[in-house]
Amino acid sequence: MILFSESDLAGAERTKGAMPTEEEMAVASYSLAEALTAVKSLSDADRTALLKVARVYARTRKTKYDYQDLLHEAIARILEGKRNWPAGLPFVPFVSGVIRGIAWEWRTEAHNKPSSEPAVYEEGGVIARIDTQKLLALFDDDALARGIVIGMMEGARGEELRKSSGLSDTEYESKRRKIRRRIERQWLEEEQTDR
Amino acid sequence: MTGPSNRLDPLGRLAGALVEDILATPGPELLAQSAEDYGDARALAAEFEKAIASLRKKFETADGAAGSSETDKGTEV
Repeated sequence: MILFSESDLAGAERTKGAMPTEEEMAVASYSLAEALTAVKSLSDADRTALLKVARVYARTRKTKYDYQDLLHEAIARILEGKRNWPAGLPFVPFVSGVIRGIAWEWRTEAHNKPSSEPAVYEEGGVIARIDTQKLLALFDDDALARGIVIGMMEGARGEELRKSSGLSDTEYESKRRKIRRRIERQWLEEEQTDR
Repeated sequence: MTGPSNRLDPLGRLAGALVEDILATPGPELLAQSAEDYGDARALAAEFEKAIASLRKKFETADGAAGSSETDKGTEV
């Protein structure tokens, strides 16, 4: 059974896992006890990845909750059996998907709530546009990175985005990582300023 | 169906790309990034633990109780 990942695994291995066996295929989802074991067995790298994932969704979904709340809620729903862990799916991508769903749900809840505040986040809304412009401004000194970020915002992915950038696979991966790191550092700075 | 995947705004789509990159990044590199940002490779892992500490306590206690209950049953004659 593929439950856990090790910190020395390559990221691709962490996300893809191996093909489920016949026994795994026969089971619709892992048990709550297995989910608890998986939580307890997460490596430091897995915990780091999931915290970063929660931060990304909290920052871009603009819910009234922070990333710790998102993470807590995702693990709570899994351990309470509200979200079943499908057999054959590695645990880290599964938790990531649960976090994403909750961020969407909370954002939708905030969006649907009647509010007297004008600063409601919505697609194409004022705050969303400001956030988008702020993120793009981080790449004013790097036209290629800016182009890739715009492509990501338009929904382009993987090979399509790499091809349009004109970079090799390795160069593109490196650029994509630099983009993420620059955004993460910006968020970190903002969080430190807010404290 | 209109779920997160097909109704996303630009920031939502960017989030998907960033998460894709996080999940594809090798573990040691993630820890090195944490060390670079916080001066401690385990800083984010520790924050994760802090965020779910109450849950772990709650479910481990329940799991332990269930386990000892099973053991008790096993020793009954």
